[in-house]
Amino acid sequence: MIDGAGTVKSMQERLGAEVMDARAPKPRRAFVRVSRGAFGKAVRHAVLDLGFSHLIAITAAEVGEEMEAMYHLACMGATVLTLSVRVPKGDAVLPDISEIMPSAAIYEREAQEMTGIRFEGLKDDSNLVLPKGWPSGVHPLRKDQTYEGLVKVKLDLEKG
Amino acid sequence: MGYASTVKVPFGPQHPALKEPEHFLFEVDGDTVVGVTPRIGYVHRGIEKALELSTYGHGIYLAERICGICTIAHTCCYAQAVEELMGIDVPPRANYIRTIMSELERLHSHSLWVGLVAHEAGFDTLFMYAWRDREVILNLFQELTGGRVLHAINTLGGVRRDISPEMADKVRRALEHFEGRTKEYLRIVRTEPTFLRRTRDVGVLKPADAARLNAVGPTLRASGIKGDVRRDDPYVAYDEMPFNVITSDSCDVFGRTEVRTEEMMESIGIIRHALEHLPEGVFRVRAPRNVPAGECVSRVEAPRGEDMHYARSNGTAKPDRYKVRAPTLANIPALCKMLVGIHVADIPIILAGIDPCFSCMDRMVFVRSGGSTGRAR
Repeated sequence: MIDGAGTVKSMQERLGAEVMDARAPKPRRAFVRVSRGAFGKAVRHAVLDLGFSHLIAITAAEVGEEMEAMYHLACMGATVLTLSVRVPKGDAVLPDISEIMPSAAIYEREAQEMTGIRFEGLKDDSNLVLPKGWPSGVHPLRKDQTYEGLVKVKLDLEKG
Repeated sequence: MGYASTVKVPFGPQHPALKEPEHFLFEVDGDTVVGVTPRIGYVHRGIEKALELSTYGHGIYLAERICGICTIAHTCCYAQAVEELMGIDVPPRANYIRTIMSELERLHSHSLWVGLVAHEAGFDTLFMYAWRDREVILNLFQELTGGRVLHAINTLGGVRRDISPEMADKVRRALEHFEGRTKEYLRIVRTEPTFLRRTRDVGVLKPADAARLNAVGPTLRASGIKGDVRRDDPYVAYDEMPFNVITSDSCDVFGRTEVRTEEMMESIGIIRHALEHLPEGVFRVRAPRNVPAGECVSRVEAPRGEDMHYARSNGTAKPDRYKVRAPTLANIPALCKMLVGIHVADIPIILAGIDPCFSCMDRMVFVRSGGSTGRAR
């Protein structure tokens, strides 16, 4: 089974300068950030070549003027690789990976409505968790969404 | 002759067969389910957003409330993540106490589930017995932590309360009684003909599908795959505990029952070992207020399966991003697979089979605090 350092090394060998940041802080943890262009290649390498076939979740986060999507992948249940990619807020689009990872769709839909990153190619991109009628541009986990603002959206929704 | 087309049947969010609000749209052809679309989110409380607005010290109270059954799993996962970011080492005694508490939680969660699945199978006698015996564990929790449901035992830097030698003896005596009862349940679920007929070949999940759809916990292990965070990615004191990862090859609701019941026996063994080898020393260290910038992935094996927390800190007293992925969400794709091709009458027992915890799963969206959650929309 591959460990954190081995994962980082393999990703760097395969993707070269496309790896923007990589580290293995613990034996069973690796964090690798790749460029947007190399994302598809990176996912295929991790899942198909290295055996990171268990998708734990997708975390979407805001980093300044960019959005980051982090794919937490586990190999044999043990080593966890967090493969991340950043896209600018104005063009926050990533490909859907449910072709190679069938369980991804549920996490992609969650990330899409909560943070506004669009996953291109999703078969069903309707809201999974937000209430029916929720305004399309309001993504609750964005930093500009305040607690008070979200209460107002919800109250307006209930009033109809 | 059958119908010309299929019929869509809404199931939930309020439904007598569901213990928590969730919606499933079933497409049925006569009496057979041919498609299912889940719609989750009826018990969202915005915990991820709330965690970003709270200090790390406050966050542990929120983590405690993600789920009413796996409160120790979530606080353990949260504390581990934050302690790693803070760079503090938890004393060995605290790790042992966390292990004991996690296994007591598994005992009470699995016996709750055995009761529920017996109820869904129309076997209410077993349901009553299982829930009666579960009280033994809840009473132990009350004595050990002060709370039957929410325990607040985990804190940043260790645990809040020690286990005294007298308390350890009480736990041992209670376990002796509980072990006898668990053996009895194992005998019943393996031999009772009505229960077997109601659970065998119901809700089949083939090993290949379980792996492909990334199922977790007893749902995965009942499909014959040995996946358990306690063994694969040991945390707290699990690397020092002797236990077997229980699997079953029957891939159905019966297998899920067998796996959980046998896991209860393993948990009893783990608690006994941990009590016997409880290290001396302090059970808590001081945690700093601010956390240096960093990120980490923390995992635990909750009673329902793998639970993951991801934390990103920015050097302040509040996290920049905090993500929670509870085991039920991970089992939804596998559940949808199990539900296709079955009889409508089997829906409740298959739903119960994954031990769904919808409020664990629905945690991240803001819905109004108080009053309106869970309403049909």
